[in-house]
Amino acid sequence: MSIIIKNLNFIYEKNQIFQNTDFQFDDNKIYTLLGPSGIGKSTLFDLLTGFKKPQSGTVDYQNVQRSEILTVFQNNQIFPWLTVSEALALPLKINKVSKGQTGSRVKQLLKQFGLEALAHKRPHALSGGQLQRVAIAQGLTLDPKFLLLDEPTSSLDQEAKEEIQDRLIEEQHTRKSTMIIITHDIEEAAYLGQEIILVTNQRLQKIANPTFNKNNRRQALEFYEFCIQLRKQVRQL
Amino acid sequence: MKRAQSNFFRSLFLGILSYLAVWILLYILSNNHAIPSPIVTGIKMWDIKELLGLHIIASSLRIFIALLLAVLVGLPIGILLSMFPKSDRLLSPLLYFLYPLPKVAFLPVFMLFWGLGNFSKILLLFSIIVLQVIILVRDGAKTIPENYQRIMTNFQASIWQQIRYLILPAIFPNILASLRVSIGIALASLFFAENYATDYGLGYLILSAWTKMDYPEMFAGIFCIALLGFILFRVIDSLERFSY
Repeated sequence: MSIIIKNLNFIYEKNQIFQNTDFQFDDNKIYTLLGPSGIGKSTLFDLLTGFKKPQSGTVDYQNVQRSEILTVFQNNQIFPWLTVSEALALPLKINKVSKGQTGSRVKQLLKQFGLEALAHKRPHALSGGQLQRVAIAQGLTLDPKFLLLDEPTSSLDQEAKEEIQDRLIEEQHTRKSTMIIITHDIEEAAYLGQEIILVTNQRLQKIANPTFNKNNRRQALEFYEFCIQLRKQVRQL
Repeated sequence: MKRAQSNFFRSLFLGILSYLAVWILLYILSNNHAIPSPIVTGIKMWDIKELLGLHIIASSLRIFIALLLAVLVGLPIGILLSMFPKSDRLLSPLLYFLYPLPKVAFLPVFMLFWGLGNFSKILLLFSIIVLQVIILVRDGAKTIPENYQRIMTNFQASIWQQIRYLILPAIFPNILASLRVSIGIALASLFFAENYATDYGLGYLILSAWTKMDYPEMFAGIFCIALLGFILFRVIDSLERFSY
């Protein structure tokens, strides 16, 4: 199961965003995408989901349906008129899942993401961290094989950020799905990404991420040394 | 439910009280038989209560049917215009030409084509309300953040699902706003429409009382139109709880 980009060219408003780009996203991995603003990270998501079409080249889905790729957007993921449980039920309703199954799936997600107390609250009554948890839970309702997350922890305080990061690792580990995460945060990219991708020179450049001790990555010296190296590489872009 | 009821009656009580206060003030200041006292008008209302009931029912039905038709027609047109910019570019100039026209001026035309009965009166009210609904629904749907559309596409929503789960809830406040604006104009036009070829309706009651110089009856009709407007506004207020 993989998404294979072959010789992809994409021009947006006369700007060449991707040129002859090749890449393969495999299953059961977390990829993090790093790169300056406006370089084409969100555009890559649109190309992977088919929301935008490349001028030339292909995006091939191997053993994965287009409907099994879902994006969690950076902002406004939850409609303001929906309560948390209604927001979680929405993708299931759209996909005509039966009422009984929808109810039990929503209950399961509410419990799993610690949202039970917020089930009847609307977005305006939630904190940034709670909203982000709801957005990720909503993205997971249909059990996508590939979940694309656009800056899932931006604008969160450190505590909420770490909570979301650990939640993402746990979810990916349990579901054995693939997550592709856009981030501006070097430490987050290093912490989450089994593979880090630099979006640079209209291409995607893979950086191997050393395997840190998963239990105390945040305390490991070599983790911070790697982050310093990574930061240098990003600055050179 | 009980709370909503008590809110309704408190608001009705306050509405009637302030209406009466203005009325009494005008009655005292004008000291003219053309503005009767609220007590005399109240007695008159009690005397003609059955007839008054029929007039209220006739006007309410006309307004209700016109509002319903305007929403049923205006809502899909407004949504379509927002979804298909080409159709919007094509139809908007026509809408802007028609919108400011005083539709009551077309009442004779409506009567000529559709007779003197209820249909032409309802059509007049409909023509006033529907443009309001189309424009506010279209503008409301256009302000839905682009991201919301992408989320629906992300979940593989069909056009109908986008309308049901995104556009309709998003524009619900706009529908209520358009109805609020329309009700005032529709009630004012109802008075005009009911002046012709009918024996029932608050407009007819007011004009016939005026020609008879029966001012208490005329004010009874005016009070009932105000009451009808109040109830319609409160119904819309109560729909607000489905909004976000």
